[in-house]
Formats: sequence, C-alpha cells, structure tokens
Amino acid sequence: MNALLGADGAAAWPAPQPLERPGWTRPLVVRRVPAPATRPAWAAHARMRRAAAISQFALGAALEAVGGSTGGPLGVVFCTTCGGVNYSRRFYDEVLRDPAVASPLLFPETVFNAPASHLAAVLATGAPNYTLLGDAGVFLHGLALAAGWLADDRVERCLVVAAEEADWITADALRHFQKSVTLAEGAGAVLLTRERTAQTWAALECVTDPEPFGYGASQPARAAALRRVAAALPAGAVAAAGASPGAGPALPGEAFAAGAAWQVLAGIHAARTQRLPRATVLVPGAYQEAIGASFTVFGNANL
Amino acid sequence: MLFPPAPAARVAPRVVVTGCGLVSPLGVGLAANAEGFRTGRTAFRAVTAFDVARQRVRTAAQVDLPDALPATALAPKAARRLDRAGAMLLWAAHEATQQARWDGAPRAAFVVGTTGGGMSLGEAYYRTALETPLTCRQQPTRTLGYQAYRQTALVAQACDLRGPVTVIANACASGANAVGHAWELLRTGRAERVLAAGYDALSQLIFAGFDSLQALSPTQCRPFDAGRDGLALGEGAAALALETLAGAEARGAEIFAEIVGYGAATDLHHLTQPQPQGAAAVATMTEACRVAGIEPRDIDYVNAHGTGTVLNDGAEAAAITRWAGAASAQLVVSSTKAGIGHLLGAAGAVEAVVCVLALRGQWLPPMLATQTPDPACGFRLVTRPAAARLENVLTNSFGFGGANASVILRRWV
Repeated sequence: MNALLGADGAAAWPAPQPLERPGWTRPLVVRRVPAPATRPAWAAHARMRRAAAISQFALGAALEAVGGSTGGPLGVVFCTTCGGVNYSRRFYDEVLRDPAVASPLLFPETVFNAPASHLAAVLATGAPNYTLLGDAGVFLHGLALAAGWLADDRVERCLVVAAEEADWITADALRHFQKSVTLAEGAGAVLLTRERTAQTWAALECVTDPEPFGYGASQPARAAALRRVAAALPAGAVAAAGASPGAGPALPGEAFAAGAAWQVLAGIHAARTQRLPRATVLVPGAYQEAIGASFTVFGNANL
Repeated sequence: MLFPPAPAARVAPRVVVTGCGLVSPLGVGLAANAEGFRTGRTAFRAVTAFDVARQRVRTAAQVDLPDALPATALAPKAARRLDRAGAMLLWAAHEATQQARWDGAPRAAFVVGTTGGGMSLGEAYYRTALETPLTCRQQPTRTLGYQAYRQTALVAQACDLRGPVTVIANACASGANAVGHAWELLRTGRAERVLAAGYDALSQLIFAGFDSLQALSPTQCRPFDAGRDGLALGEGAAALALETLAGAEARGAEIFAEIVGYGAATDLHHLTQPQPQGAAAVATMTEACRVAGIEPRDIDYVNAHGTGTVLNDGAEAAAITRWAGAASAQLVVSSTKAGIGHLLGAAGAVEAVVCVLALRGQWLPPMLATQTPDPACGFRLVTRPAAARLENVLTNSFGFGGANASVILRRWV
C-alpha cells in the first residue's frame, strides 16, 4: 500500500518511459512497474522462471495481500482486461514469421488464466480458481464473486487480484480511444476473509449491479450509467479515482482491471486516513459498463 | 446488487435446463447435431480459416456458419461487429433463449466461458499495426471486437438478457465453469434465470500454439486408445437456459434436464500437464457427487474431458477409476472430442448440451476411432452407437493451468 501511494500517502509515480513502436519513428509512452531493488524470493519458484510480467505483478501483489494469513482453503479470483499480451504478441509474431518454429515456451503463458495458475501453485492452494475478463469493473465483479464463495462456505479465504502488463500493442490500441492517457501496468490485490481481525482494513458492504453502456454508447449515456450506479451506493467518501484527468485522485495511468484494484485500495486508504466510516468506489469502465462498491472502513492505523 | 444478494431460500432451489443452443462442426442447431453425436460422426477436415501450410498438423473441425445471423434485437450495424466466434455464440444463445421462450422478464444473467474471445480480430489488429503502422482504419473496431466481454455484451443485448455479464477464462474448463457458476447463482438465489454458455473459434495463434506443443494428433484423435497421439482442435458454441424449477413450472416451460452437481478444483502440478493420478479431477468429481447427494455408482455415463493426448487421458483414466472405485467396472465413458475435436472454452458447455441430448434420447455418444482401450481405463469405453438407460451423467472439463470442473446432469421425466 505504501508502495502504491508513496510513503507520505501522496502519489509519487515513476516517470513514463518510452516504448518502441515498430513502424514509428517516435516511441509510445507507458508507465512501467519499477524493477525491485532486490530479487524477490518468489522469483526463484519453478513456476515463475518463465512467467510473464503480468504473473509476476499478480504474485507480488497477492503475497503482500495475503501477508501472514493462514487458515482454510484459499480461493483465487484473478481479474484482467488484456491478459498476457506481451507473450501473446511475441508468440503471434513468431507464428507470422514461421509457425513451424514458434516457441512452445511462450504459448502457455499467453493463456488468460496462466497468472491465476501460477498464483495457486506458489500459494499451494487447490481451491476454486477463476479468471474473469472484463473492463476495469471486472475487479468489482471479482470482489462480489469472492464474497459469494465465502458466504457459501466454498472457501475460508479468497484472494482477488487484478493485473495488467504494458506492451506496445496495448499502448497502440489505447491511443485510438484516449490519446492523452498514459498506459500503466501493475497489479492490486485484496484478501477477503469471513472473520474480522486486527489486520482487517475494511468490510465489503456492497457491489452494485453493473450498468452496461450498450453498443456505441455516447458520453451522456455513460454519464447516466455512472449516475445510476452512484445512486445505488450508500453515501460516503467517494474515491472515484481514475486515469482520466479530473476524475478524482490521480492514478498512474490507464491500467484497466488493475486500475480498479488501485481505486479500491486508494479509496479505503483515503477513508482510513481521513477517519471516514466508509469508502465508495465508482468504476467507469472503459467501454463495457459502470459499477460501484462500498466498504465499511475500520481503524486508522499508521499507514 | 451483485453483493450482498437477496436472502437465499432456506432450501436451495432445484435448477433446470429449459433451453439449449448448439453450434458445432457437426452443424448449427440441436437438430443438426443430435444424430451426429448419437452415431459418432466425425467432422475433421483441412483447415481453411487460415494458412496452415507450415504447421505440423493441418486439419481441425471447422464450423460452417450460415451466411446471415439470426434476427435478434441487435441492430444490424452492431451485429456486423461480431467476428466468427461472436457469431457462433449468438447462434447458440439465440437458439437456447428461443427454446426457453424467455421474454425479457425477469432479467437473465449471462455467464460465458471462452479462451480466445475475438482472437481473429486481435490477430487482424496486430497484422494491420505492423503492415500499415500509420493507419487507424478499423483498428478501434478490432480493439473492441477482440474483447470477449464486448462480444458477450452484444449477444446479451441481442437476446434481451439485461442481467450482469460474467466472462470466465479458465482455459479448457471455461465452459464447464460457466455452467457450474450459473448453477450456483441460481442455487444461492443470486439470479432467477441464467444463460450459461461457452464459445471459441479456431484461430491461427491458438492452433499454432497447440501445434508448437506437439499436442495435436498427426493421425486421428482417439481418446483413451492405447495408441492415441494427440488432440484435434475444433470450434463452436453452446448455451443452456437455466432457471429455478419453481420459475420454470410457474410459466409452464418445457424442461429438458436438471443440473444437480458441480465441483471445481485446481491442479497445481504443472501449467500444461495434469498430475498423473488426476488428484484434482478426483476432487471435482467427488465434490460434484457430494453436492448432488449421490455416489459414483449412481452415475450412468461419464462424458470425459478425453482430449486424446497421452497425458490427459492417462490422468483422467486414473482419476475416474479411482473416483468410481468398485463402481468403475460398470461405468461407461466416452469423449465427444473424438468427433468434433477440442473446442477449448466452448468444450464444457457443448459437452453439457450433448449430455442433455443423450439424457433425452437415452443413448451413449460413441468414439468410433478408439479401438484398443488404454489398459489404464478401469471402465467401459463407448466405441459403438448404443442405447442406454441414463438417469445421471457427469461431464468433465480440465484445462491449462490446472482448472478442473465436473458437472452432473439428471434426466427430467
């Protein structure tokens, strides 16, 4: 959490970096995850040797969220918009050059649920494990799914993780829709448990029904969908962070599902530091739907 | 609210199938498929969807789609945005909702499994971005169309579902997870109606991926045969209209089958290889039976994952034999991948629909190419068309990354 917000709670994002785009003289710009000062211990796990960046981000966030938690079956809900796009792009590039020699090492990491599989292996949990696809709001879908598994006694604990990795093809695609927004990469994770402990930050109060924009939604239609979601949420400290300028406390850029995870974490953090009883999070998806969630916030720990 | 849901009934409601839709390499629609599955027809031929000249294997089971999409609530302009995969999903979803005679109220959730979504559009995006890097023409449309949830949202709109859309990408178990998750939504009172579906189209990237792993059969897909040498890829989509029994009876709906059990677990052994004894598969079959309140001896037929690879079929044979225990000698098993190949994210949903057809017709889907059963099979393989008395059937789906799922369906009389 401190790594996300900066030691003083203020955003301190790394500078955007150039990313070569084939066929262009000027590079694209993305905000990357800084390399860790020391190699994390989990990087030595057999599953992580060839794992794509998205899996590494997911695992780093997941392990931080799990902390010292122990207990019964641990479910995993992994959420993403773009998935392992880096290996996918590289593998397809090899296929176009000559499919007869395309690398079998790359292909398995292109599958959407590869990060979730690695998470399960490293955390040694054989409990239910779903990968959900969607725009940013998919992280809130994931929270609702995990909360349902807990309520139905399918798991004792459940990780909800969202991750994205930057690649020129994703940055190129984003440029068609939001020229002024920087693509960002990374992950966010929360651990849901049934019981409240001294380490519990917040309780999930509700996740709204999604409000689809529909095909070819106009800006007014999207705004109306957002208003309907907001109206369904209890009143509280709205932490409607987003990548777009003017959308609230700034996030490092457009990180799709991971961005929504950051919104949740930032919202809960803000409510705790401001001694507010509740954090509400409104996620205006990029092109699918709007959705919101509300959290009852506990304590005011030294963050 | 997605969470918390309305208070659930004290007794979980029974969940029934009131409509099915099926698009497979055997045909478009239930009627076109039923006889093919009953007789064990195969649908493999040379791949024409993309260039396979430099691939080790050059055949798969392709779908022949009608030229026009069915008439739905979707505007023609929006319908044109659907690629081949999306079109298959639309055909299946449309057939299932028409058969169920859903009229938009109450709203229905949509749970869909897939591995590739609109992969052909993603491939086109990449080729265009490289070949003509300064052009934007069609690229935004490809970006949106590639996204699985964009396709499913369009299909939900087409079928007037109006409920939440969930896209599960659990590799080859996606379709079974979609059916199972839909069942759970209904059992726990989180939904009154759910359309559960799976879909995937052949794509160059995925075909080359399986070929690079040398997982494709250079001869013929022969699940559980001692001489099996790999899987065959296929494409298709299936959808099941699910609702509570009370809801179906209240509106006088025709009921095709009941779903009574579901289990999901994760195999931690390897990203692409199952644990040789199939421990997670045993766990899913056991859990599905526990939830259904039945024993393995009550299962009359297992629709196996049965890809035809040495590793999958060996692990699944061991798992079924261990799970069924004393009942395994009487258990009958087959894999419909023998006829239509592996449909990846669609497989679990397609095979659930095949189970519904088998329950209604009281027949067993055969694998005609399987002639010499693997000695690891402690059960009977269906290698010829046969009639049978089927009450409970179980379908398995196991995927990359260790995603395992089992669903149990029951005959409705």
